[in-house]
Amino acid sequence: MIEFKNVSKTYEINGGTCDALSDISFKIKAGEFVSIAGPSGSGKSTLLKLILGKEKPTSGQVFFKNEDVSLIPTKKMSKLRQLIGMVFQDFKLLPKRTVYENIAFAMEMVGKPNKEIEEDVPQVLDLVGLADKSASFPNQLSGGEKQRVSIARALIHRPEVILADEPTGNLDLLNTWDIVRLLLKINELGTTIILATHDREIINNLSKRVLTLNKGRLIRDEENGRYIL
Amino acid sequence: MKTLTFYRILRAGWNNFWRNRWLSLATISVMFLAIFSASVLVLLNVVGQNILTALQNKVDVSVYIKQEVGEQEINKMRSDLMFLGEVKNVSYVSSEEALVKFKERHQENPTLMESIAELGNPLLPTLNIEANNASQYDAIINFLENGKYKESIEKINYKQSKSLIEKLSNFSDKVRRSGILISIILAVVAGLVAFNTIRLAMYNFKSEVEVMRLVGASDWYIRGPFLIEGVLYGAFAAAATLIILTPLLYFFSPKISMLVPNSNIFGWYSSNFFLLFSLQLIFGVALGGASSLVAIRKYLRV
Repeated sequence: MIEFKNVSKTYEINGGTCDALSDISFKIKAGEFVSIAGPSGSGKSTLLKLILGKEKPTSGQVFFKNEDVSLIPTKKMSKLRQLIGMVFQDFKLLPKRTVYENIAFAMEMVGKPNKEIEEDVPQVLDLVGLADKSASFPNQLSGGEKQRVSIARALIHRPEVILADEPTGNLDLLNTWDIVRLLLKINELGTTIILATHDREIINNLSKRVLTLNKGRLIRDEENGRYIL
Repeated sequence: MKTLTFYRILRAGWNNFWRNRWLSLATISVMFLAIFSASVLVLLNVVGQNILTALQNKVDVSVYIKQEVGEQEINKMRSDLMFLGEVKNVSYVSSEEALVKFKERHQENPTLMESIAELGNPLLPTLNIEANNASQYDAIINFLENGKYKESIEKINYKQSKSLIEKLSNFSDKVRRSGILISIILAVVAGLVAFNTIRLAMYNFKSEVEVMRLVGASDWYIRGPFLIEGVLYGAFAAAATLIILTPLLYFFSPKISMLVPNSNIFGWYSSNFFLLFSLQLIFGVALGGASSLVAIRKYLRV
């Protein structure tokens, strides 16, 4: 479903260059749960941005469903992004909208009719366990709840993949496991999950496939992997 | 589906507009100035045209006939003139009649009356010619100056008013040209202000735009609201012009009529109301829309 072929990404910073990723190749099948492990600055976020088409590789190719992401014209980009749900460490919720409106907004933006919005939003809120918070504003929620709203929003287009970029970075232990369990549940329902994290605990307890990045290089790719540097 | 999308874009555009209402107000004010000055220019033009036509209609040609020419000859000349297609009317004032009128007019001036009494009647008989149309005077004068009556004519009094008309039409030309220049400058300033306002709005809505991209909003879902915002500035500026210009004209139209007879500027405004308002609207909307398009192209990466 997702394939990286000899992908390198180099950023130019103040005239110098910085290799974020060098010569990365791997494949992810539909329905997998893959963790991307590595310390901060190892290239995890860049890797996710390449899948989402927010960045283009300096060399090599990124394929999503056999299509070269860097060749997708801007007009079709919105279609791609509806197939990929994205979850961030800082949630990226709109502070002036309620939980319900934050999710409805995502549906409005792709032209979904009101009736479908009214049906789907409560369903997805139920799935993430926030049915009773739909009228709350983000600043009235705990970190874990905010992240669940953001996951609900990522799920609303029924995406084929969810990219989670350090989703537990701002959360305490209890909330962290809540989120991880939620992601596992979503994965069981058939959605591919790519979880980028530097949290050793999560990775060691998941016993799922782990891609380990260090300084932009893919140093390990194992099933039932552990966080080893 | 399409109308729903359009409605949502419209609503988002209105929200952008309303949440920044003070900034919007400032933008509208500058756009209002541009539209207002362009409208005033149009109205000035109308007044100028009115003055010119009024003057041209007033012009008649006075032909002073030599003292020695007899009444019969003059009558023949008059009927020949009447025969010309261009001529509307010819009236004859004999030297005696002219003297009576002159005396009436200058009763209070004893010196003048005394000298008249001493001189006898120095006034010449005149034919006053009115043409159907101001542009036809040249043809009439040509007929008189080069025709068979050349010898009987002392002088033709037309050239003076002609130069007055020319001066006036020159002046109104200058007014028009500087008005166009001022309007263009104001339009450019208004465009820049609208551009900057929309740029600020984009900055304010940075997080919204980011989330939009994230959830796969289509291009026009992201761009549309900003375009709507610009168009709204123009529409509101046109409406403001209308609201301010109408009472202004209502009050000043009689005053202008006193200075320039036959210039019912408010009447002209009412009868051309829809044309004028559509022009203002088109001008405003085009200006606002173009400014936001430039801002979108420059600052909004989708």
